[in-house]
Amino acid sequence: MTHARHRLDDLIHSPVRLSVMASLRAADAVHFGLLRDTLEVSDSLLSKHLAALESAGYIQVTKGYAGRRPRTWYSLSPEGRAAFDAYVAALREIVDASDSSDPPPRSPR
Amino acid sequence: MSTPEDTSGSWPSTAAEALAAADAVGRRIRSRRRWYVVGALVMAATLTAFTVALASWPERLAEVIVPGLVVVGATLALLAWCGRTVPAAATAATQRALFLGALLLVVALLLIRLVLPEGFSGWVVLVGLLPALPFLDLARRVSRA
Repeated sequence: MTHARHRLDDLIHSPVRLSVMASLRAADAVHFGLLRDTLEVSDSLLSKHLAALESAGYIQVTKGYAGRRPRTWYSLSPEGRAAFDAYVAALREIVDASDSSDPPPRSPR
Repeated sequence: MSTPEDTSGSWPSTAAEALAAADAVGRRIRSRRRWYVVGALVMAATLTAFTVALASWPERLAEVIVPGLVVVGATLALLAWCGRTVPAAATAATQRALFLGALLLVVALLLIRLVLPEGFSGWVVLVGLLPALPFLDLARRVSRA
């Protein structure tokens, strides 16, 4: 049987990109500023990771205005949602396998 | 975080940490929604209280209308503040709720003025709930989204 780690998507497998995907999975759409503040990363770093996810087709970008201010919204595409769910499922499998393989604590005599 | 090809012994605990980090980020994003739902519920309660008070105690208009308008204004400001962080679809839903709420407020006041007997009654409370309905629906939809 293939180990679950082989099913981990390399593209999502980075702390920032995983956090971006988790953020977008929790809402219909999130704007750039909220993502940046939530993940506590710089504009340039976030832009770089968002571009990578967008080029992979994992996120969709919507540009608009909030009042007079231009604002960019990000949301997961159906492919991105499926990829993230599969990634989290693989992570859970790894954690569960680790938990079940742990030796039981020895009872005191 | 280690790479998928990293087969070191620390990998399971790293996977657990990655899951925990993803959950924490999701919770932080979802917590923004709470304020939006609270704003919609406060708006619903305020509109009902305002309508019932206006219908039941018209002689206390000055006492009721001023604090009522202040609360409604503050709630609208709160919703507008929340609107900074919600997508355009949610902003459109808020505006729709505001429009329907205003429309139903007029309907409620007309019903109270033309149809219902004067003074406080159960019917006044029921009619007073009318303008709150769009905000209750908004809160329900956002909390389930």
